[in-house]
Amino acid sequence: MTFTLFSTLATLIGVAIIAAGLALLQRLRVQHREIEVASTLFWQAAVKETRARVFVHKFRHWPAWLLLVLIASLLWILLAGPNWSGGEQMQHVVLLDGSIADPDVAASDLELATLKASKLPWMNREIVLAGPQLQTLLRSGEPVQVANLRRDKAPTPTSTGLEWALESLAGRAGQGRPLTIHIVGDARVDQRYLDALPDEVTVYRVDRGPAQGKPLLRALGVSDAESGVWQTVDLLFAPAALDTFQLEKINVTIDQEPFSGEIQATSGGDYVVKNVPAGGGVLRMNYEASEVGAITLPRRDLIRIGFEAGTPEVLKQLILLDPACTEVQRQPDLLVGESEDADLRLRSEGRPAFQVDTDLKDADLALEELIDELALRQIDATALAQQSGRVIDVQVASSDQRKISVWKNLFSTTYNFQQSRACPIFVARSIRWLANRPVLVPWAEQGMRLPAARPVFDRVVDLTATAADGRTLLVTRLSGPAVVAAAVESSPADGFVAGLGVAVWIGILVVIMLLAEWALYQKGRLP
Amino acid sequence: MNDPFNLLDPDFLQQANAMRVVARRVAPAGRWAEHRSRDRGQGMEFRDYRPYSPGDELKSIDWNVYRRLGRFVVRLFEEMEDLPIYLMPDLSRSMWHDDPPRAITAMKVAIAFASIGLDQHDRVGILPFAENLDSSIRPTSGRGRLGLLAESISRAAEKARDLPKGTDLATSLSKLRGLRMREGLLVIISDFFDPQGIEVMTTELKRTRHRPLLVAVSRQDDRDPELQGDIRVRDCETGDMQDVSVTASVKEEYRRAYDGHFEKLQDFARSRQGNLLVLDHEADVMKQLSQLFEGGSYVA
Repeated sequence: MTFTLFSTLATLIGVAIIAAGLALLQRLRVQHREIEVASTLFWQAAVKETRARVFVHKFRHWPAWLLLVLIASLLWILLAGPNWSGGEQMQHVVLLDGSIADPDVAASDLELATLKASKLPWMNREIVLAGPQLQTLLRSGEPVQVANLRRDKAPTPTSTGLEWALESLAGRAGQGRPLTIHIVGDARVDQRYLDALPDEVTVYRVDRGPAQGKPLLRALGVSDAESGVWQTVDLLFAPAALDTFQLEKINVTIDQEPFSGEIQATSGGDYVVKNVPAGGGVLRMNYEASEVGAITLPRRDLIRIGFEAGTPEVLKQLILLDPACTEVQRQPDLLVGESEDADLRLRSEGRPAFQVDTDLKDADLALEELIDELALRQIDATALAQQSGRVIDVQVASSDQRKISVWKNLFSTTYNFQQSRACPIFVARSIRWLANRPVLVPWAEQGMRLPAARPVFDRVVDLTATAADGRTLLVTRLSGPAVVAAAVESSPADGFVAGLGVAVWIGILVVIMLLAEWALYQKGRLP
Repeated sequence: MNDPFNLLDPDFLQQANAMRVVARRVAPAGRWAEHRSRDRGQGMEFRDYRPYSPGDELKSIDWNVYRRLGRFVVRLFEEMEDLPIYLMPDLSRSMWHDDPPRAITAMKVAIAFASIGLDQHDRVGILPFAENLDSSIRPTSGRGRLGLLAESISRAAEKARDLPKGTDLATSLSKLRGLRMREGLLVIISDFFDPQGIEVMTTELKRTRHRPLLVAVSRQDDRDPELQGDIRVRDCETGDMQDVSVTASVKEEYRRAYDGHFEKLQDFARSRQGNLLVLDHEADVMKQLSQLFEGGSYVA
């Protein structure tokens, strides 16, 4: 059993103080009620056998003292806020999903998180917001109201779901201290991450409560257009109940203008609207007169690439293979070449084979993520090292501007890098990363918010998240309650027995003991 | 007649007079009355013979015996004499402690015995006691003296009520012994809450020549006091304090002490062919007294 208001140690010390205090009171000379009797003859004889209590003499009335200690201790424990849901060593982290959402939803999530935290042991609970980094909203021992003060009013997006947050928090477990993470929010958690967590870590999702209505759509999302046209996306939606769904009642608007794209049924029972203009507009799906879903379409701007003279032809072709890229002569978004101004700079050997300048302050922290993001791990560094006779290394540094420098010779026939499978992936991802274009998340499950990409979006209006630099990000929202097809089980009911907390049981116990004391007093068994 | 304690209630006295005290054999040298005496004298009922000795009256010689046996013997007859009844009502402070006071019950019991005694020509002495024996009321006999006795005891009671004193039965009995009164029935009517304890009481009682009848005036809660918690009991006579935390075990000890006290009194009374009557002063006195008088008589 744990306690909400005090630590277990403090509670036990309190019980000990109560017991000692009552014992002292038992030893104190009491103020006797004086009664005149015909004779004290028999009283004297009686107390010769059982001495009346006097200070520092034989302790008397053990049953009375024990009963009093029990009653007082139970009341003290009641004050301490007992909680039967976990052991003393159990740590609880309420993980608040910080992905983009409506402010109203974010506020209700925070309220749900504080409510959950209030039912957890006072000294072993935290509320952590999973934003771009983990932000502790409530530390152990703090009142839950502090979380409201620390939370920024606008929700903060997170780029990679909650897996990274779970991995980070899992590091706290161990050394005999199990950890329970209570997720508040809709962000999906991949089952593989959950399976990989240590045994000491248990993950629950806090249930938002009973649904108030069923959404018509089970899912709504976009994916790359099957036609290959970069400026368009394919819209996908899935009805929640196929038997009652009538396709003819669906109509689609983009920025409140009717959209007349053809709706095609897929073999899986879902529907696709092909070649929807990816201009950043808000697409709304209406079923008869009611809106049943909405999504902010991605803005598929072309990345304007400028090539300096001397750029290897192989590299130029690889870049222009990406439908998102187009070659321009003036005012490019990205410059590829050998000059100092080039964003993708080709350099001679002697420097690190791959040097990445990131706009993140902590370069070491960004290194591992960038290696994956730029597909550097897929490069066969050993073979390249053997060919070049040099070490193939990657260096990451902080800078004001994103920039990637690579050996120019890597794109020559001297090395077989240009022929490897890693080369086009590296080039494509590098261009996207340099242009800071979010990776399209093609599908949103029912009720989930699409994760956002860096940089941090600081403002959310309706369905559009707006970044500091003015770019927007799509947000998906389906009408109806947010019901998550949870990959993790629901958080267990709070308290000793669902619906009847330990405090109630203790209260009942106290009442029973008081009745027992009264009965014993009436029978003359207690003084 | 001054009767502040209503001792001469006609109904009460009428019930009392229906009862008798019968002595097995009274001490010699009494006055003529209704009880067989250890004296052998001039009564009506033949009792025994004894050899003639000079000085015996000639009319007491049984000549028929002389004719058959040739010896002089004289006939002896039962002597019928009175039974002295000494009534010792306790008028100490403890007897005035309750409301109504036990002293009134004690006086009623005394008057009942006085009425019985006077009615059968016995000599009755009332000797109230507290710290000492009050022997100012002279023993008397004759039916017409009951009123005087009641007045005397009432006067003594008023005095004791106004100036209450403690109980010292031993001293009182010692003084009684000093009076060298004729052996009779000694009726002690008291709560028997003598601070000196039961041992001192019984030791002194054993020294008296009288046949004892102990009437203990008690209350229901003497044995089961309705006291709870931490109390300080103060003895109304001695002022002694005793701190008590009343628990079930303390109450049990109390009852054991109380019962032991009266068991010792009972043992003593029986050893002297006497009796102990524990009388609830809140119940009907005469009804309880009648338990002593089986078939209407109390054999002393």
